[in-house]
Amino acid sequence: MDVTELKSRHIIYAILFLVIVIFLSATTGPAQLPLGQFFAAVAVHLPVISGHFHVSSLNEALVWQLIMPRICLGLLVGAMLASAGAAYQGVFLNPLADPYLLGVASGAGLGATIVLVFIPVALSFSFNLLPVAAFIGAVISVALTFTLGKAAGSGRNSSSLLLSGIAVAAFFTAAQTFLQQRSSAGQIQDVYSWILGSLATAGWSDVTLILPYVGLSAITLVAMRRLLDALAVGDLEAQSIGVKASTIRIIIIIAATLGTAAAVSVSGLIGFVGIIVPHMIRLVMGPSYKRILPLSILYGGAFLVLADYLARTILYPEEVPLGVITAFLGAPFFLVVLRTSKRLI
Amino acid sequence: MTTFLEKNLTGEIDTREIPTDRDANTNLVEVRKLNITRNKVLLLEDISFNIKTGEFVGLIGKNGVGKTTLLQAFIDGDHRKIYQGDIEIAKIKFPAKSIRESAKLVAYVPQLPHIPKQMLVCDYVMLGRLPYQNYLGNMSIADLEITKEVLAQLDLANFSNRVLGELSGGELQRVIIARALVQKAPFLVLDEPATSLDIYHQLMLLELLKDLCKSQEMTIFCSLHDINLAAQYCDRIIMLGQNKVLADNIPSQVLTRENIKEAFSVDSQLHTVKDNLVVIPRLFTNPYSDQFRGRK
Repeated sequence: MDVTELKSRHIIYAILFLVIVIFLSATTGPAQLPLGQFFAAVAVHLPVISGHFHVSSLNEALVWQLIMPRICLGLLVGAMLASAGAAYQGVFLNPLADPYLLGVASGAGLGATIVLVFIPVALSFSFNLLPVAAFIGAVISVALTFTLGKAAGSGRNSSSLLLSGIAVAAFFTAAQTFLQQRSSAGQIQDVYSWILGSLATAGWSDVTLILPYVGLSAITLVAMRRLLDALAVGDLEAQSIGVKASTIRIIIIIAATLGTAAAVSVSGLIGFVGIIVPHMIRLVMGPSYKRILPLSILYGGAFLVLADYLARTILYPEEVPLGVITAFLGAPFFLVVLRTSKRLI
Repeated sequence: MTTFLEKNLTGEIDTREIPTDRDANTNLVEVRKLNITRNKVLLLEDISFNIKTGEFVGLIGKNGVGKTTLLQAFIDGDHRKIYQGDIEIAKIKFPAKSIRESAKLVAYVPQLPHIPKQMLVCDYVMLGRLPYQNYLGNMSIADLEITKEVLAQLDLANFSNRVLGELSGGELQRVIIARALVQKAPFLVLDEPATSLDIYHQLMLLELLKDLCKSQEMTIFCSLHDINLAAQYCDRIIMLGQNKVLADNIPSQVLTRENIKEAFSVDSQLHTVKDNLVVIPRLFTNPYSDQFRGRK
């Protein structure tokens, strides 16, 4: 019985990978900052040891205002998308489920489009309106999905929820496309690049904006990891082992959706992370969410930081959209794992 | 939650089992005036029976008469609207105050369990420990010990790292029962566990259940299709008829020609071979005979 619970060894591997990715991303970028300078720049912001380090104000600003928030945001967004994807796959018992399933993407897209098209750039920038509008749009669309799905009797059956999600997404996407068509070419490009996802404008305000949602959501999902396994045996059996399936499902969906909405609002629609990371872990570690969920959080964060590092270095000084990187590199890698793994999805 | 912490620190075997009165002549399960209404139609009316600690009670009856629905009265959950009446298990009103507490009283093996084919046997069996686990913490040593013990008891020790999809029907049935046993509930309910098994595995299964009653004082309520198996193994049989309990007694009293005729609409010959009751059922009329068709 050596594989029943997640082993600390696996957590250590994941953390090691995460740390390597963070250092790679922080120190080998276009700025070519030495490792010592990077540590010093971080250290002067830490409470006790700050007095012992000296660093030029340029490097300090570079690290603390540009690099660190971008890495932190990448970690949060990646961790959220991957764990939400894993949770959705467990709740809907469907390997194709991704975090955007219930209309998060289309709602956030519409919210962002409204800001980009109608609000003057200066105004929206100074109030950081874009993420707020995207978040509100995402929450509205998911609330709508729930209300409609509930009306169609989703208490026991998740497929009515899925179908109403599809309907809501179609409606919001149509509205967004309509707005886009009526806007200028520059605005269309803004909307388009937002949809493809980017961490280029990341600042500490974005991190603090989504941290409570992502934190709460991640803790909830990790707490539910064993109950997700129980959902796989069907509602009645789950109840016989003390798990009220309908309630658990709603809690998990709400947690995953709120977290995803927060992540999307600051990063745009980064595709593929929510599918590829949990499945990669599933292929290697087996189908139990006891292992998939905690590891999804760690590897999801690392994967997105790595993807963002590539996005800004591959065609330097230009930035490649993050969604392009995640899919362009993720898909072939995923296929290799799929091909070599003996397990089935 | 203090008990959980204590247990985690000391690593002792779980002592939080529901206190049951292990006196052989006390009733573990008491069902009083249970009415079951499904789709606004009364399915079973005024059902009352007791099951003693350590007793192996069989449930027989025609398809659709409500065997599964009666057995599911012992599951806490969303479907409870259809039951009116009182159920007590180990002197605790069922459903208990939470669904987790209920799961510590009754373990259930369904007729057609959902089998997540890729799940490992140990992960699946460990699901039965969920009522004892807190949400954020790891499994306790006791959870692992109990799971190991049950797997060994059911001859499944070497299966723990296999995936469910590879197992044979007999192995799978044992794994499902293992999941129910790690729940450490005093009352085990099984819905037609023998139906998909060959004769050898049917007998192995029923010997196992019988042994659980004897050696661990489990109390078992189990629906069976094969009335001969029921006669051979059950301490008592509850026979369901239209809307009611037709008979509730030791097998030789329940399995009479009249009762079998009323419950199953079949004729039967009854023999006693070396103290074993043998029922040979036959139809009153063969619906496919020439005579029958001619009359039509």
